[in-house]
Amino acid sequence: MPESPAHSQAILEYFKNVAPVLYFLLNQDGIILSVNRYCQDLLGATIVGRSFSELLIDFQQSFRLEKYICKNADRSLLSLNIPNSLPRSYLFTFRRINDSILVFGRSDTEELEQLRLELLRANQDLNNLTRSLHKKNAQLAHLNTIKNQFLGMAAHDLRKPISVILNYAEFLLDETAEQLDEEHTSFLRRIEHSALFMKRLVDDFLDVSAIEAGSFQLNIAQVNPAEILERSLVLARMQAGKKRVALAVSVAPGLSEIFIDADKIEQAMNNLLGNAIEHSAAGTCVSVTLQEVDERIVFSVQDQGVGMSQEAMKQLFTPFSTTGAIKTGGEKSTGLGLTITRKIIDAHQGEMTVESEEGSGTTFTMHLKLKKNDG
Amino acid sequence: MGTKIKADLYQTYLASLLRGSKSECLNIVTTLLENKIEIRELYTELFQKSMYRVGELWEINEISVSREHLATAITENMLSVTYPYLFTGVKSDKTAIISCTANEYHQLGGKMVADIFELNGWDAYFLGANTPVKELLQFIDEIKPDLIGVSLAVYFNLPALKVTLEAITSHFQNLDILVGGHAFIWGGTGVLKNYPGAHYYESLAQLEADL
Repeated sequence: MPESPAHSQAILEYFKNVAPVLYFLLNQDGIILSVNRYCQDLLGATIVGRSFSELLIDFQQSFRLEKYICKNADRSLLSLNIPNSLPRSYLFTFRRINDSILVFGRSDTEELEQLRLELLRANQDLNNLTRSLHKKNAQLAHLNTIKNQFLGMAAHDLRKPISVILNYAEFLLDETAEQLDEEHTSFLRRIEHSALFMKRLVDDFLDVSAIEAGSFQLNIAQVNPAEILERSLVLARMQAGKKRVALAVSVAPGLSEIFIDADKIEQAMNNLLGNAIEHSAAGTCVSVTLQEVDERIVFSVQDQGVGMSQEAMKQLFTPFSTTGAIKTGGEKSTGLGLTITRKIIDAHQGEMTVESEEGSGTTFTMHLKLKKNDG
Repeated sequence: MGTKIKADLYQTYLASLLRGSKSECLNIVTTLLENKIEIRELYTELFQKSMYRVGELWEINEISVSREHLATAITENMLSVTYPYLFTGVKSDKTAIISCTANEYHQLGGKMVADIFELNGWDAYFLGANTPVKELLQFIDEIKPDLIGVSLAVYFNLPALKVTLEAITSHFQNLDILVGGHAFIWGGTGVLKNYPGAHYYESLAQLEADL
C-alpha cells in the first residue's frame, strides 16, 4: 500500500532527527540531498551535493544504487571512507520514499560487542603473560646472581692449587731438566701447559663473574697508550716467535695520553694479539697499528688467517662460542677471551669492530675516546 | 607520613582513566615510579581507589559498562608498568596461588592481591580470569602452595565459588584459603563458614597487615 505524504514525511523526520543512525536522503541519481548530524560529525559538513557512491570504499567499482534498492534487504554491509581516520563498516538499508531514496546505516552492535569482549580478554591475557614474563625474568636474574657467586667462589678456590702445580712444574723444569730423560721432561711440560690453561680459564671465570655481578671496577688513570701496547707486545713477540709469525708494529708518533684502566686495556690488547697469533700460520704476518683518529685512540690487529663467515661473526662475543677457525698451533681456547675484551671496552665506553672474510684474515679494531669519561 | 599522590594528582589520574586516555595515565604512573613511590602506595592510593570510584560511577549509571571495562583494561596495563619494580625484592619461601572462579571474568582485584603477596616476599602465581576448577586443582597439586586465594567480583558467580571451595577443601584439607572480591561488598561471607580454612579479607590493607 502506498504511503501517504504525511506518513513519509514523518518517517524522514524520525530518521533525520531522532534515530541513532547515519541518515542520508538521496535523489534518484544518488546525489546526497540531506544528512543528519551523525553523518556530519563522521564525514564532514560538506557532503551534501556529493554522490553517495563517492563515500564508499568500493574495491570492485560495482556499487549501483538501484541494485541495493531492489534488494530491499535490511543488512547490506558497506564501508565508508572516513576523513582522517580508518574506514568503518555499517549495515545499510535503502528505501524509496516518494521521489527520494532514504538510506540509513547502523553499526553491527552484536559484532562490536563480540569484538569488545575479545579485546578485553586479549588485553587480560597479554597482561597476565607480561606478569609471568617479569616474574620469570626476576627468577632468572636471581639464579644468575647465585651462579655468578658460585662461579666466583669456585674459581677463586681453584686458583691457588693451580698456581702451586704451575710453580712446581716450572721449578722442576728449570732445576732438574738435565737429570730427567726426554719422556719425563715432556710429562712435566704437559703438566705446565695444562696448569697454564687452567689458570687462564680460572682467571677468565673470575673476570666474567665480576662483570656479570656488576663488580667490575675500573682503575682509571692518565697513561700513554704506546706504553700499554709495548707491555703487551713483550708477550706477543714471544708467542709470535715460537710460531714463526712476523709482527709488523706501527705506532703513530706523539699520541695523546688517555684516561683508561691500563691493566684492563693491556688485558684486552693481550687477548686480541694472542688471538691473531694463534690463528696465524707460520710465515704469515700480524699487523698491529696504534694511532689517533678523531679524538680517539685506535688500536688495530690484522691477521692473515682463515677469517670467519658472517654467521661465525655473529657469535663471536658470545661466551664459550667458537668460530670454527682452527688455531694453527693447536692452542686451547677458554671461549671467554673476546667476551671479556668486549666488556672491558664497553666499560670504557669505547667501541670494538671486526672485519673478516673467509680466507682473507680478520681485523679487530678497538676505539677508545681521548676525553675523560665522567662517572 | 605524607603521600606522593596528592588530591589533585589523583583527580587528574581519575579523569584520564574515565576519558580512556592510557597515555596520560601512563605518564602519571611512570613519573611517580621515577620519583620512587612505594608500589603498595601506588596500588592502594591510585589503582584501587580510582577503580573503586569507577565502580561506584557505574553502579549509579554515570558511566557505561564499556567505559568501566576500558578503565579496568588501562589499570591492568598500569600494573604491568610496575612489574620491573615488583618482582625484584627479597623472597621468602612462601608460595601463593591466586585465581578467579570459573565464569568470573573480572580479574583485576585478584591480580592486585597476587602482586601484594609478591611485594611482601611471597612467590605469587596468578592464574587469571575464568579458571576452570580442574586446572586450578592441577596447579595446586603441582606448585603445592602455602595458601590459595580465590577472587569473586560478581555475586551471581557465588555458585561457582562454592564449587571451587568444595573442590579445594576436599582435595587439600589443610590448605589456607583466602577469599575476597567486590562480590562481598554488601555481605554474603556467611557461606564461607561451611569451608574450613577459608577466610574473607575485605581489603588489600587488611591482607597486608596479616602477611
